Amino acid sequence: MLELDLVLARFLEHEFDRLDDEQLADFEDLLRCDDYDLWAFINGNKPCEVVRWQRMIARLSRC
Amino acid sequence: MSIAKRTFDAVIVGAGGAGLRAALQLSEAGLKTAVLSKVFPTRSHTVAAQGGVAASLGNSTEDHWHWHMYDTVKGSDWLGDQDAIEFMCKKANEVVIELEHYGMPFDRTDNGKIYQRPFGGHSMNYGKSPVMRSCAAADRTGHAMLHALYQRNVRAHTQFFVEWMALDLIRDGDGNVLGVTALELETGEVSIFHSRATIFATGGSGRIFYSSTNAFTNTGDGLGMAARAGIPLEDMEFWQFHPTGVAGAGVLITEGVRGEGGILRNAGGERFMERYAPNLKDLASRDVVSRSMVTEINEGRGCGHDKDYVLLDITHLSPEIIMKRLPGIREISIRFAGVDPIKAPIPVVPTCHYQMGGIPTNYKGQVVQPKPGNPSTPVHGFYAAGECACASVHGANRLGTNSLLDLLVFGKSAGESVVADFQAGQLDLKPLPDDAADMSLARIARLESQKEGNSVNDVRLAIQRTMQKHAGVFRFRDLLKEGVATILEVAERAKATYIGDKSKVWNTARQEALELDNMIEVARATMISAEARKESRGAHVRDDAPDTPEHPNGRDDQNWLKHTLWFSADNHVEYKPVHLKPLSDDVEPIALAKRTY
Repeated sequence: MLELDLVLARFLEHEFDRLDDEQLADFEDLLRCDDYDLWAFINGNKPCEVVRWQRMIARLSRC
Repeated sequence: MSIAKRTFDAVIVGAGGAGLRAALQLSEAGLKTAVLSKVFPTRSHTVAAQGGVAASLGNSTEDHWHWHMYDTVKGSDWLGDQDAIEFMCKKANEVVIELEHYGMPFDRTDNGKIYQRPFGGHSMNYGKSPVMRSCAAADRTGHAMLHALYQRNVRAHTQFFVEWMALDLIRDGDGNVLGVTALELETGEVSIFHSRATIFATGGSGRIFYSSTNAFTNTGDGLGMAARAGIPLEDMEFWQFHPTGVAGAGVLITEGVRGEGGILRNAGGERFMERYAPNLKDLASRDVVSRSMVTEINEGRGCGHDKDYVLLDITHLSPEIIMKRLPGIREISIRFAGVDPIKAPIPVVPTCHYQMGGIPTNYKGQVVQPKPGNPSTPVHGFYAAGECACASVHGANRLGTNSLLDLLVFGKSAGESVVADFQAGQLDLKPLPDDAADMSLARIARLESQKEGNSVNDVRLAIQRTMQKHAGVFRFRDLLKEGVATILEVAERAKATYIGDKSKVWNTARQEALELDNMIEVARATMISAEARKESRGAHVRDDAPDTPEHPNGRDDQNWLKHTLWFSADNHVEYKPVHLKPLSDDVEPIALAKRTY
């Protein structure tokens, strides 16, 4: 979906190169979520219950 | 150079709704089936479809497929082929019930039937009153559909090649289609997929416009491959636009914002819709609002540095109302326009949404091309379905909820045709020509060897700005003529693109350069077809073809009731007749009339 494309493109441009291995693994895990769930996490419309993803979601939502 | 070769009974390019539905038909029939997709199947652009799928089930109100057919023909402004439309509307109930049996979580009525909601353009009793015809799974119908179809395909042992990009169609000297070449994005290696049948289900091409609701994957790959292989593209002048997409991003701002009191303003702060629609103002119909916005921009009253957008103003609403009733819109505006609509207006432009034209097919999903004596001769071994195909059921304008129906009906139909041809012994595995992969390898070799040239981003932006300005929602004779010259210049620049990154593994720069080759085919097809059609019809509205008593809505059936076919090799256009006769005697032809609502 376009909304995610736009956010993820910004993330890849500005944040991706700064991820360490653990963060990269979190990011890859997060991408396994359905598009709508991921978009809801980023928008703050749905709380993410996986604690280790929450910092990554916060970074994504700033993009 | 030797490259890997894989052999299948059928290869499907694209894993959205049409591709998955076709694949299911093949795999369940026992054919060895491969599906290639640039993205994971459930991330295909079908995921974005919210409204539902049309079917005259009659669960919520009385309904009949005759009425659905009437609405679709009328919606198409009579450019849709009535045989294909009859086929689609008649088959609608069957494919929806099948989907229900596959586990699709449709909304339900109190008595457990599939709930149906009303949708624009759909009516009962030939336009007399609205009908509830859209079957939906909340506002995630496409998402639910993809999951149901993907899981069913896994069960049927369909082989998925995820993150593979098809590059070129393989044809032999007789024009038979023998498969595709494809690039594995992870490794950068090119392979041949040799097959008895090839089905394209690559979706739309909306990324050719500067402002588009389409996901980044919608670069017209199927259309580009078909065009380069000598297949014409049909009715490419017809694109559906939504009036309010966020400028520069394309994300939709729902009509509900104007319903809550949102006002469109030009650079001078004028509420310009008062001049165009004194009664309804900002709440006029989509096409009226879109054309008014474009007129403001084209006459120099647009906003911003390039004067290429207008403003949607809700600053007069209280913050409490905005926060309560339009929170999602505020979020989108802040995120994608950098504007808090409580404090400042949102920059918006009419935004490309859906492509009505595409690869010409018949109602069986067979790709067709003109031959002497038959303008719709099937191409052996080649099939297409969904938004990349032109059956043609949408004609000059698509009705909401008919897009999901299109991909279900014609995805299945294409699959059935392949199975029938296979079982009849008509799909033998023809030998590959020696030069099967040469075109693809040459394209890649050029990118690897090119030391300097044009930036892919710059050329893509040139395509998008040219299409938005010259072939947007409202078309002007002079702008179209200029647009043809401009897009042909851009096409020359596209031949000399350059990428700095020559690596193979996950080289997105190379992928984008290869996608650009497809985008420019679609852009040329659109501009040239639009300039050539000298009437207004459906989504193609020209300033020099206005509404007159002789030509209602600017439509000229005497001269232009025909399908456009654009050929890539020399940019020429031909025409073929519209099928005004239905498929069977079960229904009378829908007679030509003025399209009014």
